[in-house]
Amino acid sequence: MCGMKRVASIKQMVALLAGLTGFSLQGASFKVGEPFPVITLPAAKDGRPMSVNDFRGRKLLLHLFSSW
Amino acid sequence: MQVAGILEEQHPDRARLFMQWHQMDWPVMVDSLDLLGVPGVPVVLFIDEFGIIRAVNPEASQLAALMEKKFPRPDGVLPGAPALPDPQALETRPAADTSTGWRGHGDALVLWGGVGKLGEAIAAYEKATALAPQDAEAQFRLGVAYCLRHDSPEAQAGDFAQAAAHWNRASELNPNQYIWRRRIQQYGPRGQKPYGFYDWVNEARSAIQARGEKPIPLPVEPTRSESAQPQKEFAATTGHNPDPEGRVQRDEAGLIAVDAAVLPARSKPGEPVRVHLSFRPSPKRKAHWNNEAADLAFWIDLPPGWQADQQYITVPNPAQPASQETRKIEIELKSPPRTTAGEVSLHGFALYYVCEDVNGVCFYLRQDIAVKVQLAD
Repeated sequence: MCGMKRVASIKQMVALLAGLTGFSLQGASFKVGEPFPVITLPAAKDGRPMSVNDFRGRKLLLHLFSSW
Repeated sequence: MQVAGILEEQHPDRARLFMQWHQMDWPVMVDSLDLLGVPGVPVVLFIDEFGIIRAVNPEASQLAALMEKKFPRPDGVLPGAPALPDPQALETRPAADTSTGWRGHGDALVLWGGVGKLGEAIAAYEKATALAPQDAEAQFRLGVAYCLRHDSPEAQAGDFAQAAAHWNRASELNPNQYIWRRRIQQYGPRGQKPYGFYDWVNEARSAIQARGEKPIPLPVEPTRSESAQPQKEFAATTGHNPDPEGRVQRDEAGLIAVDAAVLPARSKPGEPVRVHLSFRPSPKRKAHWNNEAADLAFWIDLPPGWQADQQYITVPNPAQPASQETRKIEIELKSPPRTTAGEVSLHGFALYYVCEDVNGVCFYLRQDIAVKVQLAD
């Protein structure tokens, strides 16, 4: 599995969130209290299968984004 | 606490360049088919250790408390990830002859089958859309598969036009889909762009090189439309017809295959459209560009009231004396504000120097091209 890295500090997470453009979620398909969809996707680094389920057992900050 | 990402991106290589630029060393997945159906990006989710979403776009000030909080274990067993299709499974038909079954089969072929399986993926999605023409997701993913093949060595004539047509159909079926709308804008006219989608690529490369690193190569460079900045005002130009009396010999042997696609597929009178033309030397005739002669040129005739951002355009030859790459030309057209709805066929032509190795002959040829614009009410 490609490099899992623990976020060492709140500061790193804040920096991540600061990258948000202030876009407001239109018609949220992600609801608090519901499981994140079960899905397997290729890793960007090497194309190997990866899933959010791989991180079970740890709290996860998941960033859905685009390069544009 | 783990940080991870999902990129809603069609091109994994561009995703890797973006990650290299921003030195993102956490795991990131690529959702090229928009399987998640995200309503927009960016979105940050805080997910607990059981896979349950506990916050959507949390404020930075909330994170410490979320990390400390002990979330209850949910009742029942949460589903694990679906079993990965193994290579043998990619060779078989889906279990159910339904649109969902064929769509899922197409998904597996695109995600795990590699470039060589894109033809089968397209066939699977075609079956899905034949069984359920209103399946907007299948239409969008079919467009992605065609575009991936268009960008690959397996490209076939008409691939990009098919991609555009299916993306447009998907958006007609579900106009609220953010990612799909952005896909059409990505390749569409400058007047309808929210921003320059891939205008960051050169900046990224410079920044990476400044750090002493080598930028990750892109097998397919962003097209002019993908990097173009928004421009509300249509800047029309005119040109000089290079062959007004049609005297240049026609390419009747089809040494160069031409594809034309127009985005968006339907536009209102007075709104701009972007025309994508690709010129592909015929492998059957062992055709190749003669780069020691003049550049590939394209001219378009404009009916009264119509405008073009470039009525005449050329593509510079590369340095080597001969080559076989697919060449692309993009122009924008704008119809007059009061035009009757329906299909308008504009006449254009390309001029090029091409050689073929079957008889070992080189030619200066013309190919007439119909650019069809669909105008809505």
